[in-house]
Amino acid sequence: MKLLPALTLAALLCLLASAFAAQTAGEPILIGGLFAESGPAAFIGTPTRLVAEMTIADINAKGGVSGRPLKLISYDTESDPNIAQRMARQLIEADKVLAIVGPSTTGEGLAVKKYTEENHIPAIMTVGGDPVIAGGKFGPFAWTFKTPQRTSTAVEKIYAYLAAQKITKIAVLTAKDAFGQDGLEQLKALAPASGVTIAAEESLDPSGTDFSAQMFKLLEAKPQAVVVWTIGPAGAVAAKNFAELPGAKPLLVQCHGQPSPKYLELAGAAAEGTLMPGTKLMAAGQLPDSDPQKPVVLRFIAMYDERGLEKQFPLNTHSGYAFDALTLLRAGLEKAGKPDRDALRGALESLTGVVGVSGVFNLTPEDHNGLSVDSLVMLKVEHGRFTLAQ
Amino acid sequence: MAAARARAAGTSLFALLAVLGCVLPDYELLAVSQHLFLAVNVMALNFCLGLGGQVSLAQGAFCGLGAYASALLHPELPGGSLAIAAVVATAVYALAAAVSRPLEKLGEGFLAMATLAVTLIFTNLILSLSPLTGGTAGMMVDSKLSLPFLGAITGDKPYYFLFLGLLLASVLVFARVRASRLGRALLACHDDPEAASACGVNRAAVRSLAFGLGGALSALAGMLQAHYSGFVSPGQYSLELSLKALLFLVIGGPGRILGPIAAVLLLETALSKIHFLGEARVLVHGLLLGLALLWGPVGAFRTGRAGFTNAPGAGT
Amino acid sequence: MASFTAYAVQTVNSGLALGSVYGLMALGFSLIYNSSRLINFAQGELLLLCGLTLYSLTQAVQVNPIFALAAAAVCGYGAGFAMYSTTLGLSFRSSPLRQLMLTVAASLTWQGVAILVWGKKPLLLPRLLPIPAVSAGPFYLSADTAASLTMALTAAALLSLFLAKTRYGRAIRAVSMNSLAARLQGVSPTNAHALSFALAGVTAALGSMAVGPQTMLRFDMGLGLGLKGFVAASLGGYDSVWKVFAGGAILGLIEAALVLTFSAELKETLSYALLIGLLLLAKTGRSCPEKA
Repeated sequence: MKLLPALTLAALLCLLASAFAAQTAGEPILIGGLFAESGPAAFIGTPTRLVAEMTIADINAKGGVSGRPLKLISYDTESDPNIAQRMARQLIEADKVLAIVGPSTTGEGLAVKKYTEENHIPAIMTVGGDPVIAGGKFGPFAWTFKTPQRTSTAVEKIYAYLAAQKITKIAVLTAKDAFGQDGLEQLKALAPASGVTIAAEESLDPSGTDFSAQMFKLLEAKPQAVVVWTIGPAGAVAAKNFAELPGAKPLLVQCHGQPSPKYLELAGAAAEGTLMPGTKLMAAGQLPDSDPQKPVVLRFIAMYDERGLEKQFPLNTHSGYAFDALTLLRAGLEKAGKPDRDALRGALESLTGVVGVSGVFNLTPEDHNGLSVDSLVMLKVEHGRFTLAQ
Repeated sequence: MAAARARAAGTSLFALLAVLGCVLPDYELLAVSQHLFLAVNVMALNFCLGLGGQVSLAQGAFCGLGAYASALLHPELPGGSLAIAAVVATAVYALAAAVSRPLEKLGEGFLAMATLAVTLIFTNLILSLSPLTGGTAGMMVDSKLSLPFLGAITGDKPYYFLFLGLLLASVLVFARVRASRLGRALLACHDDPEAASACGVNRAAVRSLAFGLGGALSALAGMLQAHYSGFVSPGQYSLELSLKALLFLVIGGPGRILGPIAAVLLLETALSKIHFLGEARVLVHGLLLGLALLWGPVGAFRTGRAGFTNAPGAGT
Repeated sequence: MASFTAYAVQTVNSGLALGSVYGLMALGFSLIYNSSRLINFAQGELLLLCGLTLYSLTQAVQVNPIFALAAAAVCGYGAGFAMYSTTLGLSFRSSPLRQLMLTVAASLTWQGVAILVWGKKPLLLPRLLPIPAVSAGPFYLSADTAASLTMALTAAALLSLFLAKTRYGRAIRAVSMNSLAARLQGVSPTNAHALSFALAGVTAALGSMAVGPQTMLRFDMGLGLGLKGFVAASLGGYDSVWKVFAGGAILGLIEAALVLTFSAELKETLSYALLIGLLLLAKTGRSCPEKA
């Protein structure tokens, strides 16, 4: 007669479980995720998915959105625009998700946007490039949002820093990809207003292996600072080539896509003294207590550690973008009051004061990013660590 | 008998694809359409490799030319899709034929490398001409294809059937050419280039014709793809496309029709289903292709020479 | 004038740094091509896997220069042989086209192994040879350049000695001249093919020691380097070790000069246009791929 107690226990457990589940009662709200988990952008896409899952779990542990849990359905886009588009359609037409988070690269973003704009699906992208929310020849962006800082924001940050250092003559080395192209356009566009002249410009192949020739040419123009605009290892290669050239050298400034422990590791001694704008994630410990982002950033880092992600993917400037996308999504859903695409879109573009890891978001119908220059800090590499530059 | 059987198999394959087009939900159709796009490129390559015996890796460049040209011409000439298609096909035909002429005398591997360089040059030019082409980010294609009787083409089904139609057309043209005097001249070049020359075949001329036909076909496929996906970027028409086309053709058997098409449809579907493998996918991809190459069906390369094998590494 | 000298010095330095690597790749390419008429698309992956193995070795134990060189040689030899047994070794009876495509499949497979074992992030191979930077008057070679050049020159010298003086070297040359005649003389073409792959593996391993500290090792670097190796081999004309090596060095110098005089935008376009031109030049007069 041991069966009876066992059955009772099982029944009790069931009750208990359903009681817990009731905390986030109701049907889950389906959110689609598109992440480049393989292909060239995998180093960004894979950690982005892990952070997205972590954030969803965190939101659900706190009771979900209006009492309903969120559920993430995600696919790998293989860093390929065609596959990203196919997967976006699968998410919407087969899985019936409410909104999409991702994809990871600008090319994929444009491909997905084509579909989401036509079919009125809110998409909060984690792509670096501005074209997805630039309008003009890149089409409308009513339904498209992105969480990483705009390129122009990063350029403004750099120019403001240079102005404070009384530097007016610079040379630029930009990648031949969409990201670098964007950087070059903004560097040129904002230079006159900031009193900066660009004395020389060169380009690099982001998968290339040696840029000393370009660096050399840039230095021949005798700039006071060299600005390098590329994501990934090419930035470290450029720093090494720069350091190896003989003679006295100006400042080396990297872009906001560069701050990561990998940069320090790959560039080694050559990283010392280089400057770059970055999110506050990279210098969380040094933030003043008055900074509204400080608690959010510290909490994010604690969660990141707790999940064991730090070991796999050491914290870098890209880490927080998926967290911010989901934070915006939750804020939008709460403001909209119902899981409806139209209402969500309207709510998203009128959100203000949402504190995320990458900054404080103030969105408007014209600005689907909502981050200002204050969301970035200037970082300087000192003794193999990122520190706040003065 | 064999020809009749092949015809029956072909008809049933296309009938099956047409039925699929009617029953599959739209987002699944998108995947099949992308496979069909690749299949057209494989058939295009079949002209120069299957008939003329020339390995080409320039298919990506020809396809991309079609896509970019159509994307750039449509805003200038709205509604003129047919005229644009004709112009693009003719221009790429002429270009491909012209490119192939001087390359004709290169041997197998060298020709592969030279045409590979053609594709790389195309990609780099697209990157360098960024004011026109949008560089790496690519550009959105907002203009719609418009055809007589059908009007502006939108939606998955119409594009699916356009791809299917283009594939059918390429199959018919291929079968026609293969059975013609030109086809026999090409096969002669393929089996023994010197003997073909000796018999009075103008090798450079017939081979450049095959190259041109393949180029034009790829360009048309690229044009459809550009308007279907709504954007063009250099990554879509890169070396990867050329390599894929070549791999599937070699696996399916150069010179044959159903083999390569079946190889594309089956293997591509299989490869798109192995998402769950995550990081192991590249490895499995490579192994799968290797196995298909080692134990897959043998193409026209050995037909007619049964029992005779070259000494290892004897060239030719 | 001072600026011109500075340009020239810089061209030589950055040109030779990669030029030596291209030269090493080209040596491997032409070894395999000469013995088996096979163009090995997976040559770059040989370099990649050898480099990554060396990387793991440096992480595990303290590596001194002699040990590093020995490890590179063993690892390259093994990798080359493994590549042979999985491509050409399996497909003697297939058409040359299938053999070519098998090396493409091998390139994917090896890349897949690299991704699974070492991941997708670039890894920095430390400098394993203690060769200092050299500067004489206005001329200047950075430490990486000096190390690459030394390694490449030594490898080329050893290889040409091996091919000229040893029994096995002569066997490879015999097979490359006339496979059938060599077989009639009791030389096994199969062994010669396997040996040429293994030697190509060794040059690739040395190449990885040269390129690793400069540019890091990443799973997708193979194809690009392999291609440059092919261009270099075509430039050198395939028939002599020194000419092939010079082809690599010249390609590196041309590329650096192109970047300095035009822009990096044009570098790739021009170097591939150069490849087509060279292939055509090399083949004029020879109407067809010659038959063994």
